[in-house]
Amino acid sequence: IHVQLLTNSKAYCSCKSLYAPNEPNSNVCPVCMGEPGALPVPNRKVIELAAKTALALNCKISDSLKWDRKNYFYPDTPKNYQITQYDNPIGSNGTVQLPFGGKVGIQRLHMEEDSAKMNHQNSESSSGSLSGSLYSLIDFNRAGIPLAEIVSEPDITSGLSAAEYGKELQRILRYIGASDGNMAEGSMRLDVNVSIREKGSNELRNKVELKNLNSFRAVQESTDHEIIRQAKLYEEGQRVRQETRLWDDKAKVSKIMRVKEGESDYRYFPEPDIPAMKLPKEVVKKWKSELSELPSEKRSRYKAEFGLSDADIEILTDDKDLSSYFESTVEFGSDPKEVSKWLLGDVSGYINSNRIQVKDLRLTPERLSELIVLIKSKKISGKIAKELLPELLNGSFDGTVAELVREKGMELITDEKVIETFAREVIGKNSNKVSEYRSGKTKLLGFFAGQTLAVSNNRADPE
Amino acid sequence: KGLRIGVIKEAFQAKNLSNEVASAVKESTDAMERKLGAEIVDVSLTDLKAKCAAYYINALSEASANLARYDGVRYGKRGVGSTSMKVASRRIRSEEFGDEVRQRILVGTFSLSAGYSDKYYNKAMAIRRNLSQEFKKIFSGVDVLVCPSSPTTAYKLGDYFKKGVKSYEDDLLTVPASLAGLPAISLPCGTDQAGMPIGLQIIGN
Repeated sequence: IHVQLLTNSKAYCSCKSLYAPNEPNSNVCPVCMGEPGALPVPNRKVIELAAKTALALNCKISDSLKWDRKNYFYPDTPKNYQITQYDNPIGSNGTVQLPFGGKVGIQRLHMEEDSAKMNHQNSESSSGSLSGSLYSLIDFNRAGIPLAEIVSEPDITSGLSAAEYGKELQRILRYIGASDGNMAEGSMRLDVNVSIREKGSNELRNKVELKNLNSFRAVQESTDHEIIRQAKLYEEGQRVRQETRLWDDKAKVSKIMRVKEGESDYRYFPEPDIPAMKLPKEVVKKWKSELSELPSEKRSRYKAEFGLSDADIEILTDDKDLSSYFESTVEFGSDPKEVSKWLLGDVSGYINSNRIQVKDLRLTPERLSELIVLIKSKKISGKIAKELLPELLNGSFDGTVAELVREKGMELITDEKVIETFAREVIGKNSNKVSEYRSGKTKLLGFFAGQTLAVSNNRADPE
Repeated sequence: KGLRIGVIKEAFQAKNLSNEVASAVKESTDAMERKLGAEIVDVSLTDLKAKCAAYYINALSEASANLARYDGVRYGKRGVGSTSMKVASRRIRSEEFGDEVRQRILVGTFSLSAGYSDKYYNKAMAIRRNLSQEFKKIFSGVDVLVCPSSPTTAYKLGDYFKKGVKSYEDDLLTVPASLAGLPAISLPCGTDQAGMPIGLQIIGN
């Protein structure tokens, strides 16, 4: 998995590290263009975010920083080598806990620079692919943008867990602010390497690399498809070639991109322009203390402290802003289960239909908590709360919930005498139903209750 | 005065060292001692030939990568009929790089390639690391080092290329300071019979 790190400037120069698809070659300089004499300067923030990500993945952090050159000629690589980390990655030996059980090991996490973005033009299939194209345009805005490359251990055994692993990684990255993790924008790219073997066998066979996976669904489907494709080949007595295949999300098949005739010789050697440096333990310690609570920690805590269901916990903790909102609301004194119900129900509905973010909500955690507490103390009913909610959500009312209730005269009527008058009114108007009830249709009780409620303008306490 | 000057004795044992260079440098160190009050000490910097080879492997390996950016894609002459990066690169690199440069790129690429990097690049780096340690020990006993800058005086025009790769060997006295990142300076210390200047090298810590 390659993720773009959220820094202001690029990995080795001070160009802005921005996703600006409509202004190609606007954030470039001699360094990231590979012009003669340009020298790289490592970006401190890159190291910090890479280390924090590695820490969030429970990796061991290297006590020294060393960069290497990976040499190959390609138009998207301005220097015709990439400054990366080869034999001393900043992070190694980590694990990721998946939300629904299971663990995936992290082999390594290292820092490197992104390549330029190529746009192949005038290909017959108009797929933008290299083959059949007449010429290519190159945008160097992306060249030099800092990346973290995360390699998992071969612990994943299905398309579903591959997708879950990707999702959890995205969640973690967003939680700690290391990356947007946006697959559509390219700030997170997943490639899956698949090989299969018979049960009980330890033999490692050829692996196939799957690329062009633009969604978690594509990750899942392509992985499962590849497992079956390889199984079929083995069953037919054929061998699986070591190759790279491109996933076609429309046709739901993979097509060969290139055959890997052995490994490419990248002639790795230490980057002479960036001297190796020590990464002091105190610095790593400080970064570790700055890490916010991670998704897996939050999930365990919610289960232990609030006793919410796994399904609810998964949604609440998926987005850091939502979980913060939830926690703030609970802190104001309302019942977590009720908060969860309202947040995942009406409030989420409002957020989705208005296409806003949690942070844009005009309803504050304090007000939501107030609303819930008012229900609990029987100042209002659940039904009344639902009526008040729209105004609270769109922020058109300035004061507290209690003030809104008073202004609208929506206080809950619990005085039995008052309710009795309503009931008598209903009974008076529905004498025929009364005789039906008396003759055995006890279900009509619901009808009477509903009518009473209606007469009271929904202000009577249903109980 | 009182400065401890280490004279690298292996420099005077070099096969290609000219007598005139040797005596001019010896005269200078004698003068430093007798007339200027320095303390002259013999020091040993072992296996200068191996260090010179290590330098060339290291430098050429780095150069092969440093020069890779000259591919005609973002700047430079593309040449007539360049329809792809492959074509443009081959053309510009074959036509615009000089012979010596192309030789160095080839040797550097070879030294880094799979199956050879251990024998060449990694070995050169090991020699380089040891040299750093060697210098550290030497400088615990002296303040500066002195030796000839070059085993000979300047080449006549065209002679360098006649020697081919062998001319790399003439750098063996200036290469150690480069490998270790030490400051060094070359000063004139007389002329030979033909009137060509002779160089004296001082290496600092």
